[in-house]
Amino acid sequence: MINDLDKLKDEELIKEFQDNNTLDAYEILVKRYKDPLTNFVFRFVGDRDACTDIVQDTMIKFYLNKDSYKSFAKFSTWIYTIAGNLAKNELKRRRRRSFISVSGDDDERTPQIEDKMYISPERAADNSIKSEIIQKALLKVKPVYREVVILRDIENLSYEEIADITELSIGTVKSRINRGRTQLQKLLKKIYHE
Amino acid sequence: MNKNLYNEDAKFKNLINDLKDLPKVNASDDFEFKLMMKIQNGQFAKEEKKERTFSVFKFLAPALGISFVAIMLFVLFPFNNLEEIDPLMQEPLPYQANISKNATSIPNPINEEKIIEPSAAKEATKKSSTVGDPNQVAQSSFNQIPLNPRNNINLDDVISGNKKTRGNLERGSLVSSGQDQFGFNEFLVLEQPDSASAARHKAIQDSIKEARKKTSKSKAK
Repeated sequence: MINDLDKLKDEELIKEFQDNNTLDAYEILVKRYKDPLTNFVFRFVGDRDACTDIVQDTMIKFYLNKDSYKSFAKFSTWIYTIAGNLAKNELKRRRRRSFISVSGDDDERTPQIEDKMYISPERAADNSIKSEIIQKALLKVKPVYREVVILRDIENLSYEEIADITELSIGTVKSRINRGRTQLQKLLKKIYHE
Repeated sequence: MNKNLYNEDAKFKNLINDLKDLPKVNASDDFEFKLMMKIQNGQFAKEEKKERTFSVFKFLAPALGISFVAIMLFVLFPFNNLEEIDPLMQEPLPYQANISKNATSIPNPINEEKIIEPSAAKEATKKSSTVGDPNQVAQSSFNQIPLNPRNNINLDDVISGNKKTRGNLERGSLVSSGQDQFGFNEFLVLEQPDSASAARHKAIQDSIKEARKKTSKSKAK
């Protein structure tokens, strides 16, 4: 039974889950999307614990609101939209918390200390350090640009899919990706020596 | 358009490659187990409740409560009615002093007479017109003046003109501010009734009367 379901497409699996409430279909979809969603949310929020909670919440929302999915949309864009919205809510919550508490832990302030540090070429060449720097720079990019850059350049989604997830026109998506990349490149100029 | 897009991608080639090379972050091994546990235990209902949005109304209720209590305090306890009594300007209370004296010492007939009920004040006023017992003169004059010690004024200030304003509750105001008896607009010298001086005054008055009678008789003759 599970082997048969494994061969099905995402849209067929959710149809099975909607019609017959097949929990195996739901589990297969969770298995397929847990890693890409975790990667997307981690790059967007920058916190491992929060990222796990958000992806869990995404899957619970998917379980509870399975009937709100309409068959004309792609399942991937639907589930990415849920995860993206939850991630944005988390960022808003953090901003409120840092606004209320003066000495609050504002995650977006941390990279500023890193930027002022001198990074030797040897250190920059180190892959793990480099990815850490890129991640911190990514968190400094405006969320509206950050989301589309992650979806395009890290998650390798098409412009059409990103337009569906963000509910924007393709032109807006492209311009936002361009602006996001420009911002990111400015932040990473120490690495790219522009 | 596609050419421009290609140029844009070429411009950010290094950046795009670095972003693609970022290590993939995967979900934890127990992700599905935790998720299924949450679903089976129905914990998602609690998590739904946690997501509360920020609202001004959250602060509005306690603010309204505090302001209501403050208004009620002002209404119930009007602070402007509190009287400030200068202890230096206070006169000793004769009634209270006598009460305490009576409670501790042997009863003094003169002091006992001083404690008179307000209803008996009118009778005492009538008695004051006749002069009989020397003690009665002093007693009646004392009882006629129901003074409120709170209404005192500083004579020095009044004479020197330092006191320009005059409060409603001060002695001499015709409106007695809700008191039963209005103040006496004269100077008051409190004296203990002296039987010897009273007898002396009576003797003087008697001698004057006799002298008047004699002169009237001699005129008549």
